Amino acid sequence: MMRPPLRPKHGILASARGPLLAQLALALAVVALVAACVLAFASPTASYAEDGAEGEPAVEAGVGTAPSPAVSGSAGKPTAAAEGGEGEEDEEEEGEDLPHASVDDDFENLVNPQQLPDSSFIYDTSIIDLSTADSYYDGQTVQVTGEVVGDCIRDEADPDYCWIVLTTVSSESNASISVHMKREDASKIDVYGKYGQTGTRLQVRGTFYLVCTEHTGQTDLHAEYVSVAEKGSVHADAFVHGEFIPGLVLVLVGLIMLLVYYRMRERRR
Amino acid sequence: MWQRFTLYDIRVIGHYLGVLILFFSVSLAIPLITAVACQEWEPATHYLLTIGISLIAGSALRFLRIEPGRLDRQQALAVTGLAWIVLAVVATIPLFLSGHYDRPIDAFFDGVSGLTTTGASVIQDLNHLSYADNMWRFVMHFVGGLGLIVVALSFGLFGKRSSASLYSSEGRSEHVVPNVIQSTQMIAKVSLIVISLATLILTGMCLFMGMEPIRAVLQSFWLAISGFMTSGFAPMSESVMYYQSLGIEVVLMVLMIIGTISFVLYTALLKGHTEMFFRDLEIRTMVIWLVAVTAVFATALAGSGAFSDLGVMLRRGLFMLISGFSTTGFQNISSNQLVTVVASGAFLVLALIMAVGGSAGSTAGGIKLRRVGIISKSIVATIKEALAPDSARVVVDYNHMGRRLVTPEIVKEAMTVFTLFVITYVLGSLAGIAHGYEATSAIFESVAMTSNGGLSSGIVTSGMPVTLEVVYIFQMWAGRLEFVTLIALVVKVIASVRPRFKVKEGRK
Repeated sequence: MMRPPLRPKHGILASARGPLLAQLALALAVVALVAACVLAFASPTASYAEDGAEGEPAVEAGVGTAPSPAVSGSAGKPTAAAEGGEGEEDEEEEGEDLPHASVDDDFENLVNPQQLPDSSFIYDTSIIDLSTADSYYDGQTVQVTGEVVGDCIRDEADPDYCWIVLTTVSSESNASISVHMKREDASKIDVYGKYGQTGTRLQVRGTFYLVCTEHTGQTDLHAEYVSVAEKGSVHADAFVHGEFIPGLVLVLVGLIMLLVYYRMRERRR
Repeated sequence: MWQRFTLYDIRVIGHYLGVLILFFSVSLAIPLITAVACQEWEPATHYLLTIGISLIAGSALRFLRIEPGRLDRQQALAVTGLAWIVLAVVATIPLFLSGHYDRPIDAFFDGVSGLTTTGASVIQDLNHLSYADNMWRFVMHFVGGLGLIVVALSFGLFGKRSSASLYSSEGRSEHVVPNVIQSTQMIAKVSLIVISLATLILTGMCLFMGMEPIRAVLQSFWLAISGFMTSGFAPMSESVMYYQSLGIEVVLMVLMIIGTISFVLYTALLKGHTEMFFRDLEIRTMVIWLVAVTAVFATALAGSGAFSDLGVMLRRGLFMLISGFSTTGFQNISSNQLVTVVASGAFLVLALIMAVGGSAGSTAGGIKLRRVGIISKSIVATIKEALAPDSARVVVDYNHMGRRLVTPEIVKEAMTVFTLFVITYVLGSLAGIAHGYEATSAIFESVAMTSNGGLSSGIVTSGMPVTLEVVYIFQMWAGRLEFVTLIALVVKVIASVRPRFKVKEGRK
């Protein structure tokens, strides 16, 4: 006697008795759902989809790779590369790596809180790069960090705006950039850098112009978002008596020599 | 054939160099007072130390000859030629102690640049420089712009007997008034009046722009010195762009133009001889030359695309033109824009403007308009002679404080210096190219150094090759002395150290 074919008594397949096509459709639906979940978790830009940033371009621009740019005060690169070019290359290489087991462990996956939802192409770059920039950066949204030096110079055309000079924090360069910002943003600056003072370190995001037509051809950065990366400090010179002694001794010796010279000249006359 | 320096000559030269060093130590008191007033104690120790060193060095040199006597022409040449380098060495001490220079040669470069009023700088982190050190940079400009010898003569440091030789050996052939010492005092007086007025106006503008009062006063004073002396150092690393002010740029343009006019013509204007001013060869040459180069520069700039806008051209282009023509060196176009945005034609026109420079007898550098004018007159005379009958006597004259004839001696002097300038421009360009820089940038930089122009395309920067830095130092020095003094000094020194060959006995 032939045994009847096994039929599941419980579970989904048991309840899915019916036409074969319906069972096939259900199986396909399950497979599609699983595949979608796998693809979603596998993509490194999945967490930015909600923010509206484009996946790959945002990676190339370096956005999202900064763990906490507002705190660190750096350009935000985990590789600590001061040059934007190097950072972009690093991100392209890292983009090819497989995602980490845990999203929280992957620092590349951290959200940049500074990023606006609708920001387009952003170059996380340095003041050194901008000081030698050609038309490549012209009109682009850039983000730089630098020390405020000098004064808040008023904008002759618009009193609600002012000019700030940001200088690079790197000791290997003297690069600086003029930043056009609102006075309310400038009020965040507590110390202006000069002799005896280290200025506030600001992170500025805005549009870079190699030849700004609004400001008669100047190279400048129109700030859109300004945050304080590090407060400034004052370190005035201390008056140390001992440091003046060598100079005073030399001056005394010089004056004595001068006196001797005039004495000798008078004797000859 | 060449007369050698004797030991007596060396002692006299040493004595007068000692006088200059002692005078220089007095000028070091100005940054010392600034440091004390602003409580910048570390710079104060540096300047005190430097004053001590210069007092000792100056006094020691004076001991070489207690009673030096009168300077003859060749001794005066040596004093003038060596003064710029010796005083630059003294100026280097506080600059290097400031900690803003990587290498001593960098500080020396800035010392020479300051004294020769070139204005190119390799300083690091200028925005954090102390007020005292900045004051010193501009004191160098003031002293160098007037002329080391002029300043010393106006204080009567050399006495009356040696003044004429020294005055002419510094490249000054014109007497503002018949008496040399009075001439130098007149030059100093005019300079102080103009600088004071300009400081007042600029201070008001800087305060309006939102600067702190102390910074407004000091920076205005420094800008006034730099503008009138056509020197080029700026208190901030962004140069004139820092101030974001059209008004300040206009005032600086006026200052630069005034600084380019011969001091001799000021006396004529002050006496009401305006027709003498407008008939002057240099003024006419300046007008013709400026009209021509402005047209070419504007056309070339229009081809840049980015700078083709009229407002941009007027503000940026005109300022750079005047800065280049006066050999000041202020920039309201960044070095990066100069090489990436400005068309190469406009870039080279700027170099040409610097190469020609301003008026003789002013604070400007370059070949000088007087020489260009005389060479042009010489060309006219040559053509007239070619066209005139054999029996005709061709006379060409020019106007400079009266009617003067274009003589072969005047033409020879103009052509000689012109040729030497051009040779130096070429040699400096080749040096830049040999170090791997782009040809247009190398040419621009070489011209800027030799003409004491100071505009930079980016080659002059901290970390530049030492050999190139030495070449540029030599160019600045040679350009300031207008070659003849320097070459004469070099020939004398070589002739003095070259061993003599004794004639063998028995030859008859």
